[in-house]
Amino acid sequence: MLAVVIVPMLARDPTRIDDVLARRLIPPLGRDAHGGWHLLGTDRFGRDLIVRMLLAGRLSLLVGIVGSVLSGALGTLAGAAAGWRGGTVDRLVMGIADVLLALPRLVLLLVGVALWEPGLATMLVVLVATGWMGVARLVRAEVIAVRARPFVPAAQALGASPARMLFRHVLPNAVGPAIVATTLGVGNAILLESGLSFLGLGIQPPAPSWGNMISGGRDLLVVAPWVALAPGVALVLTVLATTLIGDAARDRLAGERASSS
Amino acid sequence: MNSATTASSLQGIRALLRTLLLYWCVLSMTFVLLRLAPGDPATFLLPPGATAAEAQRLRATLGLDAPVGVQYARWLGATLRGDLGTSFAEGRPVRAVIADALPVSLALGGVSLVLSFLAGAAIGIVQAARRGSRTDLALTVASVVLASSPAYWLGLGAIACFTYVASMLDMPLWMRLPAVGMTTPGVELTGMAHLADLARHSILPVTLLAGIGAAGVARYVRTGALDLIGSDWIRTARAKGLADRMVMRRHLLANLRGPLVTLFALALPGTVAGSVFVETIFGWPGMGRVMVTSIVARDYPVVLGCAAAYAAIVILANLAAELLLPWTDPRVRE
Repeated sequence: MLAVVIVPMLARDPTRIDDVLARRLIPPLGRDAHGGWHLLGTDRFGRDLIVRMLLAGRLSLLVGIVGSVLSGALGTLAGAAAGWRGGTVDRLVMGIADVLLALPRLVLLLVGVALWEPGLATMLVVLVATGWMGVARLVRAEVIAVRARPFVPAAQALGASPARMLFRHVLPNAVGPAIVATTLGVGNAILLESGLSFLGLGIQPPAPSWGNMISGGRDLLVVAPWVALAPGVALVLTVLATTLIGDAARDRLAGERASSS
Repeated sequence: MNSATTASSLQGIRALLRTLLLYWCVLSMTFVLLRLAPGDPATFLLPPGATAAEAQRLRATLGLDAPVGVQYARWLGATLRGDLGTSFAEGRPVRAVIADALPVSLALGGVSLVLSFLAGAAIGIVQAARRGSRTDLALTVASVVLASSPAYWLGLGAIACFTYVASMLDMPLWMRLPAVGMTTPGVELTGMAHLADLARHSILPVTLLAGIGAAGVARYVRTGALDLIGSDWIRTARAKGLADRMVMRRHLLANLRGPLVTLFALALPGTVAGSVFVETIFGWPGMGRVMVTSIVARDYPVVLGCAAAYAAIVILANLAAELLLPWTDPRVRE
């Protein structure tokens, strides 16, 4: 079932630009004046919706996955540094996290997007900058717990360097929850990206994003409801799929923990 | 006893100081970020043909020609006096702009959140009680799908259904709900008529926000209740012959109340901020709308003011969650 949802998202068509008046607002399964057939119809500029939807999906998945993987990595590093070093580093990192957590993420995103030109790069930077705190807290707690386990002084006594300690011994034991949180964050990141694009502060048209496609269909609700419907369905299915994957990862982690302890 | 009281009040003072420090950090961060932003607000306010000298004069009037440090000091002093500055775009105090918008968002978010917790808790308990049944499965699927849906898209769907389709199909008048605004424009209503008008305009946005929230709460309650159902004291309560309904109400809900109150306080700021989409769709003049328009116009004082207001909500909500904990969970009181 997951494959059904995801595989069509990964299969891509080449870009096709049909800027022909005759092709405007064709309903789904309709034929245009040139006899071309459109599975999901066309929008007001005569652009084929399924092609745009798939292109937008590529962008959304890119933003969602890269955004949350990078913020997960940043959070893991920050959390590991804070938990391992303690003291000033710990206070500094957690202080920054507290300050960032004192504003709802959406507000931070809005402020961040206001700073630079809206677009793909801005979106990624802002998502990463506002998304690492949760993972950092998780990893910090795990690292502190792992540090107290007997194999840590054992490895240190064998002469392992601090970096080796951290990357070979501590992090592999602490990284499970971070991976789960990152997976669950993908859907959230996709929703935030599309939301900002819907408000006109994210991916800028003519580049397709599910958010700005829905926004483009907003005043066509009566004339051509399919323009807003199709990207919305794609968005929901994608977020749903990432949520299910994240849930599965969490259950599996919980199962492993239960059986190993 | 006495020393214990002193210790706890000391702890309280320390927590308060930490909160204030945190608040100052947040405010300073937004200030620094926004002042370092590219894009000169003066160019947005001037007519296209304005000369460089005019632009310079306007910048001087707005205090934008001073170094960032001086601007910060001025801003901090003013903020401490409760003066949030003047909106570049609207020319009126930021405090007035926020005072108009904040109640709208708080009311919209607060009412929706209360409804979502009531509905979500009820649904979650029902699901846990009938675990594995078709009802449970259907509700789980519905809540997962709802939680994955963007509010603005559902909002568009709701508008399409209840305004355009309802009037196209000649459905009864009460089913044709207004799509835009908080009240009917151009009509001065008072008393009950005003309230009824407001309620009619609220149905779609509040139901939408509450529905999405309830999906999340139901999932949380279901998981929590299932964990508890496996515990010994639930088995004892059942073994001594208590009716299922009684077990659910007196034992399960009482144990879930604490986490739910905490969750409520922590969810409030996010819901208030998240209503930006619903406000945009339904044209409600709340904080989210103000924030988006002021970002587009590079109206720095308003953006800063909004961020300050949001941060205040978050910090107050966190404080409330901490203070409410002993009330909901007797074990913490000692």
